[in-house]
Amino acid sequence: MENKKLWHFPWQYRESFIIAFTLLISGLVIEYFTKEAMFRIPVFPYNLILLLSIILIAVLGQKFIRNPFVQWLGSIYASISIISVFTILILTMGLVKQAENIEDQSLISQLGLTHIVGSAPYILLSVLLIIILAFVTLRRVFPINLRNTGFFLNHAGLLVVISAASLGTSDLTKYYLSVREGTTEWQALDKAGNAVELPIAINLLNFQLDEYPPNLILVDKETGKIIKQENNSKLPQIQEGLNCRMNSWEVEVIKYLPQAIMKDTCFVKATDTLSTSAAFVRTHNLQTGEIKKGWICGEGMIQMPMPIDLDERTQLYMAEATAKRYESTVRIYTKDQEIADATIEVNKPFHINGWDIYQYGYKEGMSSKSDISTFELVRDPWIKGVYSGFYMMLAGGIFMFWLGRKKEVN
Amino acid sequence: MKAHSFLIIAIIIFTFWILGTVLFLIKKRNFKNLGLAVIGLGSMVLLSYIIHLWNFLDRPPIKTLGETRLWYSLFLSIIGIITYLRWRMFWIILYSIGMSILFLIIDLLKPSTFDQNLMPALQSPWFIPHVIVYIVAYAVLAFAALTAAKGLWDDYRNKYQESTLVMADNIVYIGFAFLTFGLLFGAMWAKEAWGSYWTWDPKETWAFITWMCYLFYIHLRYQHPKSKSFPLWVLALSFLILLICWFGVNYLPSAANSVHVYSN
Repeated sequence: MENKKLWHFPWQYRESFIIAFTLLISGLVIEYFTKEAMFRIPVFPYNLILLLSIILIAVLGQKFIRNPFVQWLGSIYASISIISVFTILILTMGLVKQAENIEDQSLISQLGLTHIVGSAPYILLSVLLIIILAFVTLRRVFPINLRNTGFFLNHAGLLVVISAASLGTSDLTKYYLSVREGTTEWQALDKAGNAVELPIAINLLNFQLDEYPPNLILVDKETGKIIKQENNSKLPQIQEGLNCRMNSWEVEVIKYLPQAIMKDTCFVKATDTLSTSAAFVRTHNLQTGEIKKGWICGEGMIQMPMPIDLDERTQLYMAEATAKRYESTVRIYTKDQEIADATIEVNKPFHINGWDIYQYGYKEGMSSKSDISTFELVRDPWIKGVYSGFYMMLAGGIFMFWLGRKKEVN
Repeated sequence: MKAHSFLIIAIIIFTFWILGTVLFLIKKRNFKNLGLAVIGLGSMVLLSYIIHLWNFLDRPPIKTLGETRLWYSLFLSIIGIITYLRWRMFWIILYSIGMSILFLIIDLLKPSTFDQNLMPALQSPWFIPHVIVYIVAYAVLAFAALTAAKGLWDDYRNKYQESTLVMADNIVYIGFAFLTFGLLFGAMWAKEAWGSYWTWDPKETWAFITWMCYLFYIHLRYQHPKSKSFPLWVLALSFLILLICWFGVNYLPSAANSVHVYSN
């Protein structure tokens, strides 16, 4: 087979990879020599105009389908090269620790490799990816053939997801709002910590936090590390009357006070919210026969965790209780005099006026752990586009799974 | 439930699987099917153990690495039987049972401490589909890797058969479809849980890299259906990337604060 001269059409692997790598390297060079981000994704409506322009060019390009450059854009060579080079960039992202504001002077950082998302090489390669995907997809749309359905769903679906996700970033807004129980807030913080006044206000009627009962753990005094359970695969969960075996000890929970306060050397039931969990336990060392009794407690607002020394090296601690469930009952007010009541918890956000409100976390307030609820408010106008792409790709996946690869074994 | 009861169960499962494989290899009539049935019984024992664990923990056992290995072992053995029934190559059974036993042995050597607590972010109807779909994808793609290994071995002895890569193609299509489902389920869950469908978290980044590697393989095979060595290596290396995504993320320094790091 005759050796084709470089840059003579039809372009194949060499030309494709040269183009893709040139974009990558140009991007790195741009990052090195610029302080501020050179490319910013434009906000609405310019990002939509940009997307529609690309689609329009790809559609018009089909009229010139015989043009060798158009052929190349929709070719497998272009596809393989952009897949490879984009993957190499993302691979770098997987190996180099990423952080948004790294002020160090290392070469890696100056090339933008510590904040690849939004960097010049990332944007340049993404744009090439979108263009090639558009041409590849449209190439097989006409004449309409139902056999291409799977192909179309997968390629068009990916195109929709990537376009909507990347071009939509500029229109994405996120705010964080902390509200104390019984009060209303309409001022939130953005990611950089600047105060922002919101078009909606949240009145926290009630914040409810349920915790799992704390676990019992053995800690090595010298290293501070948790000692592994030898003969039981489940960490014992504290409850009154519990009798369990922890390595060389038998532990019995004689009394358990989920809300307790220290009084002299014991714990009693707490009457206000400044409390901690405490348990009166009895331990029996199966090797030496030694029996100990005493109070252990978990970390509280004004209380350090208190263990029992089982021997010179081992301590029995009450581990910090983990959250089981937390939810906020709220009343939401909008500037247009709308009022909505809602219960917001993790995995169950509330949607109003184009805003998605998430239960983000909670803070320790003045009087108890569960006084202040923090919410995350997200506005993403391009989300419906992204989800349409998701559904197309899911359908495309089903086609792949069902039909497989057509060729049969001979 | 004591830790040593898992050892007993594992020994029972190994007995069924090894006995089944031996029966399967005997060249007399009906021994193949008997062998497959015995292997299937071993898988059922493993399934019962997993269900028992589910009840014991009062939550689906898919939180720790050790727990996911159980499912992996189960799916590998079942998919091995199904793939054999489709393609009728005896080495499929050898490889799949071998891998299934290997993963259970790893679990015996590195037991996880099961902890009953499921944090609020994991209490979602997406939890089970997302993880299960990924485990199926990993099991299927492990097969593709085994096929690649066999292909490379055959090629080394100059006995390469084109049918090997054709079979690999079909397996990869299925595995890739499940990989896609896993990626998208994860994104849709993330949107419900913390407001973003994609945050380039190290696990997400490596999941994306894995997805792209198999995407590369698919396009390569489309364009070069006759080539053998390069696609075989691509397939083998893609599985390496998959393993980095699955286990490596826990150990990579760039991933220290990821939400996807398995609980200890």
